Order: sequence, then structure tokens, then C-alpha cells
Amino acid sequence: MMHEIVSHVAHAPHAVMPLRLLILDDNRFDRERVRRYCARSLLPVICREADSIDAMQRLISRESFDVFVLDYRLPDGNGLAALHLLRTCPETRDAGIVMVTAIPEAAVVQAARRGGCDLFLCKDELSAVCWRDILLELTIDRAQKSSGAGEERWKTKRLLC
Amino acid sequence: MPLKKKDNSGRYIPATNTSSQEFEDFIYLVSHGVRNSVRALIELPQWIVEDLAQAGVRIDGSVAESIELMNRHTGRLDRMLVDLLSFSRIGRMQEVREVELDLVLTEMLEEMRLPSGFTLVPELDANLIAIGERDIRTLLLALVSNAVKHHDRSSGNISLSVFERDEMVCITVSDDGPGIPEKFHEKVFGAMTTLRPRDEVEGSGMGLALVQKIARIYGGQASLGPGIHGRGTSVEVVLPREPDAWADGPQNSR
Repeated sequence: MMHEIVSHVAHAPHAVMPLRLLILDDNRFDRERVRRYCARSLLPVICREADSIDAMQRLISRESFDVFVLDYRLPDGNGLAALHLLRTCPETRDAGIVMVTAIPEAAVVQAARRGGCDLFLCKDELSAVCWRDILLELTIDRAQKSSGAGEERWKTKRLLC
Repeated sequence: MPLKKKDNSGRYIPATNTSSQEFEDFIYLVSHGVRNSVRALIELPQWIVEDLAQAGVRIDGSVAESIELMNRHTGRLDRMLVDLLSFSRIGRMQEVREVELDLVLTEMLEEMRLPSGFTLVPELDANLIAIGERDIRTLLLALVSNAVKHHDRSSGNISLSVFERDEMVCITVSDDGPGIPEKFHEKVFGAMTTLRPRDEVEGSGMGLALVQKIARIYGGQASLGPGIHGRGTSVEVVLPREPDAWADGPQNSR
């Protein structure tokens, strides 16, 4: 059953605009894990969750997001399909996109990179410290994009923490 | 699955067949499904502790001990699963090519991170060997991590020497740890085998089993010997320098 999950504001102590982050993963534990890492980072982050591509589409039709965290294996497609959808949609094509997977198959990593994925992570190596670094980098990248600094929107790379 | 199939450029690549694909699918499902749950089992106790602390509930005494035991066992479960999966993938699902051992060693040490107090001295008189790119990493990691894990002191010396002899590459990792009594020299190559109580040394007991399987599947052998300056253990792995020197090549094994 596809449904949306209630949002959670991690922390917003400053006047800094919070990072709006959507977690797409059909595994409740993995969504909660990212949400907890966001909270533990003490950075201003607003998390929303979707357990299917369909649920994600309904969310992005109503709200805007800065970052998408995509699981690879999904009930109604896979992370690459979600990536393609986001990169071809005018409202989301400039968002930061992080793909996570339990098994980083080389072919999937390459396809994600070609499809415009900004970061590719292995679930095993994800940690609170690693996630904070990622959020900091995404926050900086968003600020640079807003200020028009540089033509390059994001750097595409594979990151293993 | 024999690895002696060549592609158009003459490189050795895994030969695929139906049973091999089924095996790979099986490995994928186990890796993904089971480890997903193991990951949850590892983190959930920590979340419980965090949430209780946030609610002002103190965790101590037998509750803290039980949570610590839970953490230990799920960590052990995860390590066993990882090592069993590594064991099953030896000789499979990877490209066999000429590798530079110094690069592999550097990457391995970055991944493993030797504990402070331990030094590793490499002596690479030979640097090239044709082997599965994952298997050589598994081999070096198993040898070095074993030398650290089973050491009886907070500091130690490990040496890694590589030289060529009669078209064979000899890789030897030696330490100055407690050593292995000769009567156990055969036993320690068994799967899930440890010589000390499980609660003393956290490990899956698969280290030397991995080493021996890799050695055999590439037509070589592994053996134990004395360590550094009369103390400790050395593990010598002798492997053919080139695939053509293999007797039968890597075989299907489960």
C-alpha cells in the first residue's frame, strides 16, 4: 500500500533556511535511520518520507524539496527510475539527489552517475557522522546554487563514508 | 564457475551459466534481505537507549548488560554473514586480471586502518599477480586483520613480504603475537574456527578459511610458520603468478 509519512522537523535553531529533504525508501527502518541521522546532525533539516515512487510523486506535486534520498530497490520501480523522473521534472531537476543501496553494483553506480545522481552511498557504510558531512555539503551546494556561484550545479561523485 | 574464459581483449572474465546466475541471484537476495534486517537489529538497541535517555530513563545494571550482549551478538551475526558471503564469492563474480599489490595493499590499509600501536612493514620484491580483484583484497585483509585481532598485546609488528619464485608468488604475513601451537596448525584453517573463547576475540573464525580457499582455488597453497624474531605466526600463501600456470583453475564451489 502506498502512502505518505508525516514530516518531521529535525532542528532549526538558526535563521538559516532548513534543507527540505525527501526520503524515498519502502523500508521503514531505513527511512527512520536517515531521519534520525538528520536529527543528530543538529542541522536545520525538514524530512518528508515516501515509501514508493507514486507516493513521492504526490508529495512533489505539493511541496518543493532541496534533496532527495533514493533507495535503489523500490516496490514500483527502482532508484534509477525515480532519478530519471526527478531529473526530467522542472520542479526537481536541480535538486540534490543521493542514492543509497545495500549492494553497490558497479553497473548501478555508473547508471546513477550518468542519470545525474550526485552521491551514491552504500547503506552499510552510512553513519551519523557521515550523514552530517553529506548534509553540510548539500547545504553549501544549495547556498552556492542560490547565489549563482558557478555554472556547475552539483558535483557528481560516489561517496563511501 | 571456471574463470578461465577470455573476452575479446584476452582478459580472463567470469564464465556465466544458468547455475552461476542462480547462485549470484541467491547471494544478492541473502546480501540484501538478510543484512537489511541485521542492520536494523544492530541499530535498534541504540535507538532504544537514545530514546529512553531522552525520556529521562537511566539505562544501567542488567538492562545495560543485556543491551550490550544484544549488540555484541548482532555484530557477530553481521560479521559472520559478511564473511560467509565473502567465502561463497571466492573465485566468482569478479574479473581476474593482473593486479598491483602495492595499490591493493594501500587501499586495504585505508579501509582497515591499523590500530595505533601496530605497524605493518611491507617488503614487496614482487608486485604483480593475476588474480580475482576482490579475492586479493579479501586475502590481504584476512591475513593482516588476523595478525592484529589475535595479537596478545596492545602494540605489535606485522610484516608483509612478497617475492617471486619459479613462476609462483609467495605472500607472507608475519606477526609477533602469541603464535599458534603446532597441534592446531591444521584446525585453524577450518571454517568458523577460533582457538579462544568467542567472548575474548570478536571474529567470525573465517579468516584462515578464506585464505586457504583463495589459495586452493587459484592452484596454490597456504601454510603456517614461525613469526617475527621467534614469536608469533607467519602465514605463507603461494600462488601462481599467471592463470596459465593454474592446474585446473577456479572451480565451482559452495
